[in-house]
Amino acid sequence: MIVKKPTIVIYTCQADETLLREVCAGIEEEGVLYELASRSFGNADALSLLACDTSMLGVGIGMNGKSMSLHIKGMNVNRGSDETMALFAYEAPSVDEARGLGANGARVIKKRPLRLLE
Amino acid sequence: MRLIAGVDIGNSTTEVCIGERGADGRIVFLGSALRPTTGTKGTLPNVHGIKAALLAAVSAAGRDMSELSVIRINEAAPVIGDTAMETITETIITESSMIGHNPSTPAGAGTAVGEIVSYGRLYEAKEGTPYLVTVPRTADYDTVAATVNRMAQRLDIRGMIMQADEAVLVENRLQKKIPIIDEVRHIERIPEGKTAAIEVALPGQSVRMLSNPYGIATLLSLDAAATKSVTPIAKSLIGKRSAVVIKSPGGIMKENILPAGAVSFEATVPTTVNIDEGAEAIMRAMAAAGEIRNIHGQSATNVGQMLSRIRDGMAQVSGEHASDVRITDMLAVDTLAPVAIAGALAGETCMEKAVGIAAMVRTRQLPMQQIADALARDLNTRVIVAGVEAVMASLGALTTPGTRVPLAILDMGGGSTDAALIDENGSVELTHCAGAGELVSMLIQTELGLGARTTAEQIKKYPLGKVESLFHLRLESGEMQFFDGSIDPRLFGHVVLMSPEGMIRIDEDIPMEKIVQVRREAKRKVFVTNALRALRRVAPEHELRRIPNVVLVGGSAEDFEIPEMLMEEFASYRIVCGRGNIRGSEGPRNAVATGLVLSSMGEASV
Repeated sequence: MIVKKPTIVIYTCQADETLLREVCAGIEEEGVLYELASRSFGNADALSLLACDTSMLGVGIGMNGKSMSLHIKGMNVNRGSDETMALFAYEAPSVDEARGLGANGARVIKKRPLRLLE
Repeated sequence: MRLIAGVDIGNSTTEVCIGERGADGRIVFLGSALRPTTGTKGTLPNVHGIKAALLAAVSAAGRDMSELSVIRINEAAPVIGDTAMETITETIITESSMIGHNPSTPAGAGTAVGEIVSYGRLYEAKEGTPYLVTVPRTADYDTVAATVNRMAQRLDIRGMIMQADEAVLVENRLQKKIPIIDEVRHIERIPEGKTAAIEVALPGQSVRMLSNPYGIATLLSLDAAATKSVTPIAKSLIGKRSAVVIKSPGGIMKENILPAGAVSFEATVPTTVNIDEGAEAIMRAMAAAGEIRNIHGQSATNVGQMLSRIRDGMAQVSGEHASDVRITDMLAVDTLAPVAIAGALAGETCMEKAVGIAAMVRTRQLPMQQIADALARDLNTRVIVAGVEAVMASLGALTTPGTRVPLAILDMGGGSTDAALIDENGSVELTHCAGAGELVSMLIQTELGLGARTTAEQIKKYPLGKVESLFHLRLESGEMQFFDGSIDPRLFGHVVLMSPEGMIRIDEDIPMEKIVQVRREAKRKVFVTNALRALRRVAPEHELRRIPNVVLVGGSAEDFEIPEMLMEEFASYRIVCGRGNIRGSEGPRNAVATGLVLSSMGEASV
């Protein structure tokens, strides 16, 4: 039997430590588990796509430097299209935005309304 | 062959029906249309809406406006309705003494009692005293956890109250687990040095100790007199996920009963009734008063203000002096309204008792002839003000397949609920009752504490669903609906309204079940009460069982649940009741306009 924890997967490539800490805090506050792994190359979008495929919960976050992206498995741009789009993507987010991205990734799983920063 | 148009101007919609007299004298219906009423019913601005509706109906039938030979406008009932709402209790806390709210993620579970100390002054705290620590937003969760862990070796820290949404983060880093409440917006208002009790409920439950007066008494060691005074606190904490109660010797929280005032009926049997007695007592008193000529509210009280506000509004519409405006019917409904508590710490509200009132004003005849003249000039056609609205509605309703006289119609519109009974001889008995769709919207808005009236109106009209994932939603009936492409993430986790144009998000965080309950209750309170009231008035000898058929017409008859509610209610009186289907094709709409076209049969001059 393969035992795998239900986690949000985060793939990072030279991620900004302060922002990464906020993303993790956002997920933790919502009570969801996460897994961190670092990769040697890849932009935020590509990393988060990879991550969401690995995640048992279907939620993946990718970070490269300050840029970050959150993908949900199977969330397509248009009906019938295979092209997926990120639920959230930031180039250089604020601390609050990073925390919000983590929290929202967890909220998608918990079926709670997303926290949308105005 | 020339065309005949029937025009029905309602409080919220203007409906038209186009017919043509055939060679054999029979009328063939060509089409109908519906547009929003422009301006207040019975005033000149209505002409724009009428023209728009006529144009739509005529062109849909493939004809030209110049072919119209006569336009028949309804003699609108000289009644206008309005609604008002006023709370009759209010809760005041002097020297803030409680917080009760629902942070999405508090941490730990259980109760704690201690003296309040702020995070910044923790170093001044004494050994041996139990403490509750308040933490401002500026403090970092890692540092807070580390500090508390270090201090806990010396101090007795029992619980924490945080401003930021970080309770779980801190709790995960604590060595000794304690209850933590977070998202308390006005943390700086919590008085230091006072004794307080906090409680975090177990997952899926609500607070148990602090929503119980004896629970508060146990935690804060109160005497019998003080226990009595904390009862309103306990009451307002029922159903909360977390709560704080602060014991402040001078602090008082009380429930004030505002002078709601009395209503007096100028009627066959003059009667006065106090608003405090509740809606049911008011309606009973009104029914016993007989024919009502006018209704007054005691001056300098809530109800007095409400009725005079309605009077002023109506005076503006009808151009009469406010003292000449006579309120001839009203519907009072008990309700609850969430009102922000004065001095609250996290934006708490308390459900206060309130009364909603719909009042109906009988005015002089509405200036329909002016509208007719303006329309005649604009379109260069003959325009006739013809027939009483209820008679026309009855005529139109009779085009519903399966109906026969004697027949009662129940016209449920926006402003008033009207009933008419047409018997075998063609004579018509009619009545108007205050209260209809607009009162329902107002009740929904106040009870759910919605910011916008439009949201309440949409809730009234459309069934609900909850977006449970990006690919499916659960409808209020329990059914699931799946989608191929993903649903807009902004709708995710929210309750949405299933309108034909797409999903509408409800921003307020209210469970779907609660919205359904409030919506159904509001409709029942207004429409079932009014249907019985109106039909009793027109029934032979006021005996409901003597009405064999009831046809529901008007805007609210199109509602997705009101007709079923009424059918259930009338089943016990052995009345055949159902939604009208005018001309076998129009549904409950267009009854008056159709009746107007039909009534032209009797007139040779066309």
